[in-house]
Amino acid sequence: MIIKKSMQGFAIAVVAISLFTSAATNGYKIGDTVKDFSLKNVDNKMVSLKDDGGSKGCIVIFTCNHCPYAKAYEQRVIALDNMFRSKGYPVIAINPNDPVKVPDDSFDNMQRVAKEKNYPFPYIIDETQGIARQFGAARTPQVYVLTKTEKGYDVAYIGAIDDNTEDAGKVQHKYVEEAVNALLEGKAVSTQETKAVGCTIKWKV
Amino acid sequence: MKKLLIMLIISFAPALGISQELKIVSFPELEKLLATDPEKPKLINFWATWCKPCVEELPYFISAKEKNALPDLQFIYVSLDFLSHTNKVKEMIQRLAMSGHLLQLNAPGGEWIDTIDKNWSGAIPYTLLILPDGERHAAYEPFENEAALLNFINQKITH
Repeated sequence: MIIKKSMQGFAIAVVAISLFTSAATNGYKIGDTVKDFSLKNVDNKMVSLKDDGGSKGCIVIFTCNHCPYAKAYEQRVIALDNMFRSKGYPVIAINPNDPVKVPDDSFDNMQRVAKEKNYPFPYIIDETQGIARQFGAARTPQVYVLTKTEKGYDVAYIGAIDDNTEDAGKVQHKYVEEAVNALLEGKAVSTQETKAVGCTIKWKV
Repeated sequence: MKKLLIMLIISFAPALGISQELKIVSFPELEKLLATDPEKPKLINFWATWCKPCVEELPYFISAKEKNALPDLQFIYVSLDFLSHTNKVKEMIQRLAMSGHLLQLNAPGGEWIDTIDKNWSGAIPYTLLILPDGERHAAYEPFENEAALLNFINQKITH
């Protein structure tokens, strides 16, 4: 009887959890294979995973110019590219924001920021916001670590860059670095999903 | 006369620098403040001084509170500004003459976000309404005007 009752409870919990997750996430989940995209870079050339993703994977980051949380991570994103591009995991940064709502995030301003900060990685514009929707991105900055498999580029990590936006010196977990290092060593990614405070993606009306 | 004086003090309070005090809280402390109150509903707004849509919608909250249309409703504002920017938060509180529970969260990471709401990405503004029966309703996008905010509150409270 007790077993039966707890089984019932378990079944209810399972149903509740599955309802919850299906409502929670639109877009890619861990393990999903990403559909390729082709978006315009600040140098006016088109960027795709096929041509610009790494030999082993790719660090896709939804980010923008204006958001202070995105700005706080600019140097750390450059450091990630410096650390992992040569190892087969380059950074591709995507700005998904509507420049009508946020003029700071216009293509011209992306070109200016990329030049000022000497971005060593592509900084591409998702003009239709279709790629942000496809990924299920909700905020800037938000990272998707992709790893190359026989199927294509698969999602291995979704979330924050690390656990301290304000002070890089006080970071305890470098989530993206830890995920890519694990993948490079052929190990499982221990933390696959994290959340962080960020700016909402400014959707077109 | 006394009433008038009080009114005057209240209306000049922001200019006089009399403002509600900002309290810096840890996440466990915030969680306690967000516990269901069986008597009164709570409206919690997560914002930051740097977040333009947040600052744009704050006056709707302030005005709704001033009108006292829902006297039982408790207003809780949680700033997610960096701790090094506490002064900016205080300035904004004064400038907008904010009142209610004024908090700044001391939690550098994002592990706490799921505890508040699994469906929340961590993007702000974010508003949560907690009803006396424990029911929770969230708004993931900014309110476009005061009517939209009142509509959100009323629909949930009176249903």
